[in-house]
Amino acid sequence: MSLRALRLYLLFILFVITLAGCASTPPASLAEVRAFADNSASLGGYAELARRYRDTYERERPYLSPAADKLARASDLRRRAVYDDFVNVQKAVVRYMQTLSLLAGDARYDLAPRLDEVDASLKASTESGLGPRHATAYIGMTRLLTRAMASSYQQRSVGALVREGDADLQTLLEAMSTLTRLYAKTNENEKKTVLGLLDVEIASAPRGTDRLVLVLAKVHLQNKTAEYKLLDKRYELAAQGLTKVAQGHKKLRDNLEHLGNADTRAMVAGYASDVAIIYEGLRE
Amino acid sequence: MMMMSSGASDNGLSTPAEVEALADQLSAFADTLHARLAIEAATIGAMPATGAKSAARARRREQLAAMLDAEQVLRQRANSLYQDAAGAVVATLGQPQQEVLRLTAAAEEKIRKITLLGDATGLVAGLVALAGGVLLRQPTAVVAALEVIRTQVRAVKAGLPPKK
Repeated sequence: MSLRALRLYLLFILFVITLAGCASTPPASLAEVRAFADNSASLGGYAELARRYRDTYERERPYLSPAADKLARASDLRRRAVYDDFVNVQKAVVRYMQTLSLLAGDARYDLAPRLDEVDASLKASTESGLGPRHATAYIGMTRLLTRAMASSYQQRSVGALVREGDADLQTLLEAMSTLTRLYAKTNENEKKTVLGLLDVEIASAPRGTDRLVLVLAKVHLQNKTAEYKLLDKRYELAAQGLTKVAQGHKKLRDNLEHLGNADTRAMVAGYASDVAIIYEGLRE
Repeated sequence: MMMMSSGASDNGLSTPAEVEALADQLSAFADTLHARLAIEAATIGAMPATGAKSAARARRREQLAAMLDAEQVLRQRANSLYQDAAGAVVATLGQPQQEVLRLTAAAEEKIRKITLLGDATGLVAGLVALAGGVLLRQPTAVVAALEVIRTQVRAVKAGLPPKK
């Protein structure tokens, strides 16, 4: 190696070391943000509860008196008319979370395949004196450079979305919480209508009532009681999930400046896992 | 508290929360009524269906049915009010919903640009190699680097939105 080339080489190594120094506080990983967004995007159980709300009349119909049935039918038409609006709120939130996940995802920034292409073309020129060490150093430097570029772009993009989106997202999540509560209360009245009728009819049945009819009625009451009991838990979990998503996003927004900070990462990871646990409960 | 949009409801109450609170009260009345009904049902169930008291029993059962009907109507009224409240909440969401969708679309555009950044990486590598080749006076390295640059410039251009 000529002296000149050696000098250049040393200079170059120095440059690489300097760059590596700049990047020695590694770009904050957004893995936790991504996990939070992924888990939040499922908004577990919400769609099912919205559908259940829409179909309230179908289920309660056999149990209703004529006067109650008339009112129930009017409510049914109104529920069906607004169902799409209710679902669209959820869709906007889901799409937001999916985008946040993509934006915070690692795959987009994995530039290795492209670097390998360059690597190959550089290696091809090694015979002519550009030593393999040079080629490796070039690639290393390029990697650092692009990672720094991509990382800061990614961080800024995630930051901008979370910062600008938080207020409106909170409004939508709060509305979804309110809707879930109203679904639950509607379900409560449906439950009491269904169970209440069976309860009263069984208790007041004359002694001579066909035994088989009474047994079937009691079995039906048992089944319905179990069904509604399971549902109560779902409304509760769905509400908890929405609260966690809202809190998690708010915390994320408040800590955008320290995303790389271990405490922040642990906190965001905590919300991600809470949301996952709640939604896991909803899948049972 | 969100204001109910005009025409969203004809119940005369001003906020979804007030509508919901009224519905809660109706539901609670229905619960109280039902507790009474359950006692009455048990009493009737214990009365003989035949004999001297059978007529009284039949009458009380009819009254019980009428009260159960009233309970159901109360619950339907309550649910109708819950529906009013839900509709009013959703009616206020047009603007925030649009805003979230707009931000999401903007972020999707950024994601597309990040793909461009991937293309630019090759360009950076090519330029570094070119500089190295020139400095080291290696014509083959320069030629190879130029080829890389040409390819990458094409890739970056292909990823750009069409000019208007």
